Amino acid sequence: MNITLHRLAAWFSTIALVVLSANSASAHIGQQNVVFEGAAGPYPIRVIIKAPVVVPGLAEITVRSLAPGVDAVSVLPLRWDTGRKGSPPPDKAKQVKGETDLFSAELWLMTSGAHSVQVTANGARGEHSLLVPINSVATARLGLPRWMGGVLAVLGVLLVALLISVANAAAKESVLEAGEVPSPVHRRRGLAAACVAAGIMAFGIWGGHRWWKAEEQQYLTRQLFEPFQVATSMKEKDGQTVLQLSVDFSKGPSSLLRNVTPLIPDHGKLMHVFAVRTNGFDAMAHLHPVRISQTQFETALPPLPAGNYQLFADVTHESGFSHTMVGGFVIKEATKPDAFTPTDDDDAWKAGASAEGSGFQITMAGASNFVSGTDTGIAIQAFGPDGKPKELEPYLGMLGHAFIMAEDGSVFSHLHPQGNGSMGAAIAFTRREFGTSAAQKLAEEICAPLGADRTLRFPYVFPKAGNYRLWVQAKADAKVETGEFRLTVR
Amino acid sequence: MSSEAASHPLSFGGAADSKAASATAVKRLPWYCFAVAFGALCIPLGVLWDISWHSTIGRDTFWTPAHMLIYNGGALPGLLCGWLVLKTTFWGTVEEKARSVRIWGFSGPLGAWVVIWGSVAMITSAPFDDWWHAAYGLDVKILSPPHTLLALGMYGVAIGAWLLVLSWQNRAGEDAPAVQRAGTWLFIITGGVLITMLNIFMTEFSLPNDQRTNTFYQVSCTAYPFYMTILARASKTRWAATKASLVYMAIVAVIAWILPLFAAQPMLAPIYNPVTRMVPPAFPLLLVFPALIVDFLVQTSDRKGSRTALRDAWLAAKVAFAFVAVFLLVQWNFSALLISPAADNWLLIGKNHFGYMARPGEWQHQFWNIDPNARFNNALTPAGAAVALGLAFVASWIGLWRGTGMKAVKR
Repeated sequence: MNITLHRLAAWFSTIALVVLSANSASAHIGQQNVVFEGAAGPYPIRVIIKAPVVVPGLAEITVRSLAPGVDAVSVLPLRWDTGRKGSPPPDKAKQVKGETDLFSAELWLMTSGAHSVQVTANGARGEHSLLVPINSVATARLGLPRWMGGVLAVLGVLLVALLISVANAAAKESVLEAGEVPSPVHRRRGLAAACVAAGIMAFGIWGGHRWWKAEEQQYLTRQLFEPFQVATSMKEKDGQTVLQLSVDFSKGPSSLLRNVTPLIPDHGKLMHVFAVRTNGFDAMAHLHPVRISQTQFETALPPLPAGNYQLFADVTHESGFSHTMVGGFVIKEATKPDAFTPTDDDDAWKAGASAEGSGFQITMAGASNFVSGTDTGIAIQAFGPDGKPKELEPYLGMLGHAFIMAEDGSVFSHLHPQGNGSMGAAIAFTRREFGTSAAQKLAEEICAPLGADRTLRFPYVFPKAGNYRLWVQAKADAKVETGEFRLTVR
Repeated sequence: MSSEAASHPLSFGGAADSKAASATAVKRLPWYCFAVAFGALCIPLGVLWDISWHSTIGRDTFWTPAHMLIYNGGALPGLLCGWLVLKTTFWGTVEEKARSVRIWGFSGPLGAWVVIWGSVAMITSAPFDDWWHAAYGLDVKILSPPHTLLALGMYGVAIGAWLLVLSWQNRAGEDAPAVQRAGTWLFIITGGVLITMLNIFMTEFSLPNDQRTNTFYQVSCTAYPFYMTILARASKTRWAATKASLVYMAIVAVIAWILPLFAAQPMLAPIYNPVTRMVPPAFPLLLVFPALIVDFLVQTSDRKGSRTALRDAWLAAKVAFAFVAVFLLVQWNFSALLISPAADNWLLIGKNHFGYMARPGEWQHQFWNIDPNARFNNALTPAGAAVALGLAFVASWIGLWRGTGMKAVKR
């Protein structure tokens, strides 16, 4: 129930916005926005969803039409297990004033877990939809702002003092005839009543405090989503170093357990591991461990220099719930190149100047003056040694992959030309709602060839200012190349 | 006080030049008593409507009619009583001041002060609840700390209204039968409002499917005898607890029968139960039956006069035993009807009180938490019933004691 009067708060005070400390995002780390670019039938659109940080909460959605012809947009939340049958009528997005191609809407996400937002574009070429996967999870731990504490303290003192005074007056005066002066007996009764009221209030405040703490604890165990931790270990196997990863999916918040269904492949792999050497960011690997039990995965380590490595592991569940797990490992001695056989043919890595691939170069195209919170995106091009644009081949089902990491480790995103949502989740949702052929069509669209400008674009919104590292991987002549960049985001 | 001034509809029951007239000279209950009681009545009506709104539509704004009714229930009595205190303090007649209590240099009837306390508590809950939603998500349950503060504020308003009209009932002599009659009726109606608010606050323990658990009988046998004994003792009319119980049942039943007349649909996902009409509350408890026997016992005892704590303890024991026996007999059997498919109609509501987020299933036709093999088994046991009896005794004893105290409230 919401018998709240909660918006009276806006009357009550015009005081500043509550500062939220989102500790992690849904499918990525430190990233609250899901950016998804795709085709709603004949209409190419880019959707940005700012997920709420508590559940139930309000998602902010912006939809940009990338070509003329879209007159109206509507949005609809779909929960993974209820789909369109369990959804209300869609909400019409409002056209942003002064813009012809930009629409915005807000949607309540009421329960924790995997959702998708059905975005429907309407125009001369009819009504067409696409699904954007999004996790609805609580990620914020909110402290009581000082002003709020002050306001509540003042009102609390007023309530306590008034109740004690009322109790005193009730026992001392309210039972007297009009005009009768309280006797010493009545005064004593008043004092006793005030003491009892004070005791009740003290007990109430103590009990309320305990209750509040219990509610918070329940929020932490039932609701708050923090990235799953991956335990790592090393072992020697067939003459090479093997990294073992172990994760216990039952350790998540209880409200999400129904979403932690079996894993499904996301662009062909059950798990995508991205490891980067934290001292210097000069070595990285994009690996695809194989599962050896319900909770364990392993992968051969490529020839990487010794050092501390931060690890991010992306997985997608059948429900459509996708998330990034975190961990780390230490390489004490550099792996020997000749003793390495990749666990997966699509494994790729780069250590300093040496890389697994070679033969072409990846460069940044277009503007590089990135501003946090804006729909900027990243554009890259690939050139051969002859300076001519390289013909890119599909790598893991698409023409390129990018990894963005804040140098302080607070942000990590795995990007594709369609955005930072899980493609596996998008295909799973599309198959459930629109059938197999629609899902196959989406998989084909994901691997669409480059346009005439030969530029590969990754739509993205930097969540905050700071220094970032970017790695872009693409494939040509059957070789994977990794481009490495340092970005400053204002 | 001159009778001319006293009968003026906008007077506070006194005229500026009157200094020595008695309260009994007032021939009509002041209008603000009706207004404050009306405000108190708005609260449960608004809350029931709001619960229905959240069970049916889900999405709301500040301006929903249900919210407006609740705000009115807090603001109207609060502002009115604030004004009453200022008026009495700065412009009140000697007589008005004489029938007031003084707090921090201000004068006003005790009930007005309690209403003011309730309104401040309701206002305090607003920013607290807003922050709560930002910190832990928009809550979908009734029992949370800020909602409890809000509920305490609502109780404050309703209890203040109760005390306000009570003081008029108690002061009114035989020469002012209209005042006594109106005061008594408003006392009973606001008593029914309080029972309704209590019932709403305990919804999570009180659905028909819960009515074979220890918790339901223990909380019910604590809460309702308390109010019923106060009503039975403090009212100047007979069968007050019965009438207040009928007020409670009428409020809930009328709301339950009216709301489904309006078409509505859920606007939030996930929708497990695609309702097409406003969802009603569950059928009210049949409190009128235990109330009849509570009234009978208290009236019979009070006719004999000479109340002592010991006599009240014996009376409380009889009331507790009678209440638990009748309440248990009635609700145990009636709840079986209410959860059966035979009750799925407009009259008895049946399972129609489940909102859009409830997955339809056989569980709606079953009693909950009474499976002896389940991890959580809360089925009513003889020991649980004995606890309920003990709680009913304590609540009744305190209720009789408070009822005696309230009978004496004159200001």
